[in-house]
Amino acid sequence: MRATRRFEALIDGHHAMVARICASYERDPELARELAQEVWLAVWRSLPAFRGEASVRTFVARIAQFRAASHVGARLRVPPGAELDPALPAPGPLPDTQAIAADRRERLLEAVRQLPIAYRDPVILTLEDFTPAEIAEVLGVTANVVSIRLTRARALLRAWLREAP
Amino acid sequence: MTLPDGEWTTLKAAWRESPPPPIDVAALRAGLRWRALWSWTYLVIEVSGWLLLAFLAVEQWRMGESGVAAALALLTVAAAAASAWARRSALTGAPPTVVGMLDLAIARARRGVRFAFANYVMVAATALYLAAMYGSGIGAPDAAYRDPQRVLVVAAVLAAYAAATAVYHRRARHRGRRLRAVRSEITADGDVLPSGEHA
Repeated sequence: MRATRRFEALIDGHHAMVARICASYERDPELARELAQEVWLAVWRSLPAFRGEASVRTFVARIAQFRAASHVGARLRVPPGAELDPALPAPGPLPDTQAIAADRRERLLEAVRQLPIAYRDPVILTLEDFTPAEIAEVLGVTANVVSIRLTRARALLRAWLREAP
Repeated sequence: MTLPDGEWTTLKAAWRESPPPPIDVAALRAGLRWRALWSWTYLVIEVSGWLLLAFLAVEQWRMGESGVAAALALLTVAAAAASAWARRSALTGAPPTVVGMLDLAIARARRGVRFAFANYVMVAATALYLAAMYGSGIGAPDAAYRDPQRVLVVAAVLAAYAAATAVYHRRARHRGRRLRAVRSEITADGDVLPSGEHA
């Protein structure tokens, strides 16, 4: 019972991050939701082995990144005809500001999806407010490699976002 | 419309602008319960299978068919060992990094491929053994391994097992290849092109 409550607290606190990570790897909204469920099942199974050697957020992010990366492999999965996730914006007509915000986020998400995994991983974690040292800890590479990749990835993102119509 | 300008502060703000898709916690819990139930059911089926094989081995041994009994005992031990191996947690023992998890998953995929090869050898040896016993003049004329119908059933079971192993083998090989590609991209020292190739 205590484990269930702990797990639900984890979902409450970190589902937004997990959902964003999954959406960055899987464009199909339904598959992204399934991937998020897979991540949470993996978190549930790994919880007994979690000894607090890292923060809970790092623990969840690590599992989400691993599951997402092994889900898509080296290539981005692009299902034919997949469009924006209808669950992302609120249902019904949106106020202008919300519509603009949703569109802006979708363009950013699309640009992140274009990045190779080597860049995408650190970018996603940076956008989730992880420091380069924390990202290095999550991924298992050096902080120097993370910093170099972030610099290059930001240049790519900047160029792509400027090119966006 | 204003796009994020490529600076981390504005990118972070844009990243969190829309709410994530909701998650149905009740459905997730129900899914966990179903998985646990299915896992237990599957374990019961597996254990029943081993017990049946062990029972058949003992029966064959009591009937004096020590060769068949030995083959069945070997199958029982192999099936039990394979089951115990497959049931280990996917992430247990992994270093606490994504690369560590990938290494463990790659190692498991490699072991899966080896396990498939071991299965092929076991199926081939069992088939050869049965064929030799069927075709030879060893033992009583009414022995079980001389009955064409029984031999046909055993051959069908072996063929189904080999087919299932082939599917498992293919999946393990593809999974290993895919994970190795991801790992090499994450850990590469050199520059990475937008295509994902290394410069």
